[in-house]
Amino acid sequence: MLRKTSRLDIVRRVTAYYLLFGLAAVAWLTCGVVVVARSVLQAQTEPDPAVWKTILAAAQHAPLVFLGPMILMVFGVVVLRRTVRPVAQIEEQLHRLAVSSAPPAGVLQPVNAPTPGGVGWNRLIESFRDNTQQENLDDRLSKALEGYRQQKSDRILNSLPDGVAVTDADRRITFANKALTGLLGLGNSEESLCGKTMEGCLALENVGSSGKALLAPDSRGRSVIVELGRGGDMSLGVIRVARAPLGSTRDDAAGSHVWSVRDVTQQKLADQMRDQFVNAATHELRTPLANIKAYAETLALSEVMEIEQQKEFCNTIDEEVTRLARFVDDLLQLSRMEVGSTALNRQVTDMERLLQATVSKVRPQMEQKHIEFEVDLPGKLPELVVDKDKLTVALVNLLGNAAKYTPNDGKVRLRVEVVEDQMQIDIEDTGIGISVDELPKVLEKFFRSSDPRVHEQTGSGLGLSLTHEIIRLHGGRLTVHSELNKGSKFTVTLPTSPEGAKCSNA
Amino acid sequence: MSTTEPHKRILVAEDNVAMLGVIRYNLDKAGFDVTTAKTGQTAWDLLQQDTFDLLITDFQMPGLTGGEVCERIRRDPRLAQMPVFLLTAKGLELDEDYYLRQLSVGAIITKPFSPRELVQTVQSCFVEGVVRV
Repeated sequence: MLRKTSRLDIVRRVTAYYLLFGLAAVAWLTCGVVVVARSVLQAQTEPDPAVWKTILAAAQHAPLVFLGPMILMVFGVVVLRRTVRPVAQIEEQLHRLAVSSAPPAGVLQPVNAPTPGGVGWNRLIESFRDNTQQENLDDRLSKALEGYRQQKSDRILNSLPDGVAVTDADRRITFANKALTGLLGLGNSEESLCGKTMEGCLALENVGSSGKALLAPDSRGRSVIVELGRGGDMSLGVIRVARAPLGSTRDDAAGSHVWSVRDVTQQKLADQMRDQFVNAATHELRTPLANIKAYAETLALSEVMEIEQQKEFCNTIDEEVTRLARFVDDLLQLSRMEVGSTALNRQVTDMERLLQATVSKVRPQMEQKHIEFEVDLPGKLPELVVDKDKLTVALVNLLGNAAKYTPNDGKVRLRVEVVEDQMQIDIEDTGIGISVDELPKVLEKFFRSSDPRVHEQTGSGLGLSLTHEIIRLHGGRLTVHSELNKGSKFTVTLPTSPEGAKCSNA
Repeated sequence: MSTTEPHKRILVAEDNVAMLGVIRYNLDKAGFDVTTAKTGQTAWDLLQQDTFDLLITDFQMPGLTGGEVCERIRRDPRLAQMPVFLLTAKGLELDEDYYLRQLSVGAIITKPFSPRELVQTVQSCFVEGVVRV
């Protein structure tokens, strides 16, 4: 029904209307004039040529002759206007659209005209508005989605164990995740960080040289990674802070930075422990090696040496080799047990026999130093499911230490008790004891007391660590009580029920 | 290897008895007058009471360490010029620069070492009269 309205089409239609009404008016006027002329001619041919009558007759037709064409003309104009007006309106709207910057939806209005052009225009506008509404809807939907995505990424960032923050060009925090507040030790208030500066939160002014890299303005858009003490204090923990630029310099994110903060305290401690271990192990390996080399070379290069002296030197070398071998064995065993690659070879063991065997192993050492060795075993001891060899090593270590660090004519007591589902083995001596400062460290690997009396004895600093590890694997406990110059008491507690032992072994 | 400098007095501080014995044996044989100390504190006490031409001290000792004895010696006007040798079983972790330059330690001898070389270093220290090696 709707024809394609081209400009030519309108012109043709306007011309058609114009010609139609114009020709009609001209025809009417011609007819009128002819009628008037005829009546005038008739009046002349008739004998009663009353001029007035003629004029009157002509005047009689005049309204019809002139009014008819005029009415036709007016009607034509009305029809023409109705045709042209919507076109003019549309043109005007298009003109306004061309000169204004407002969106088309605001400028274009439907026209009030039932012409095909008007109806077509109106339908166009209608579909256009529909489109705009659709766009608005899309806009709203994408905004909602964006919000959801933002929320989701916030949630992801908040679930990270590392602290994350975003700062703007003024160095103010615009986003900080939950972990950051915890890592910086600033309590739990999440909001409080926004608006603050990272420099302030990290207490950079306290940390000295390491913080300078972060305080300096980032002019080249480079990433910076530094390690800092938490709250400016290394002893409270170590954090690794990385700052990276968020956008390029041309971006609207220029000057923004992403900060990530990670707690590396454990890693630092592990590094420190590894270094300590390597240092201690190096020292323990080098000391006997140094002695072996020094004695061997002295023996080899001495032309004149008494046979007794030679024997003494050879014995020293032998002792040092034994010590070195034992150190390597202990180290290997301890390391295996710590890694868990050595499983206990548990068997049902008669504890009384095990303890008697242990006692007989250390008795010569006690007798040599005239130490009074008291063994107090209850009449009946339960059978335990233990690793016989390893437990013997542990108990020999403890009794050997008691003998080693108890002066001549001292006293060592071994006392065993079964209390409920636990077997308690006490090894008490009247030896040199351990100072309060050193007591917490005695179970550490390589720890040796700074007491000169300890250094008179050979030892690697691994015996107690190994003993502790063996007892731990059995699900037991090793506790130490000691008083300097009075004596020490080591207590081994082992579970007697297989359940207890199994649980703790897992 | 007989008597080059018969009357030079050397104080050796070392907590490992076996090491102390072998150093003493070699220095004795080279003709030096050797005094031994099993701890840093004993060595320091001996330094206060007596006069020695050289101190050879182990670095790691319980209580007062060899390093600390060095620092004390350099602060003491009477001992400030005394040559000191450090023995150490430590490796890289020892700040050699600090001991060699700031505390003017004559030599840092890393264990294991050759006793013959130790004796030679001691002899050259006295012959050349230099503290630094």
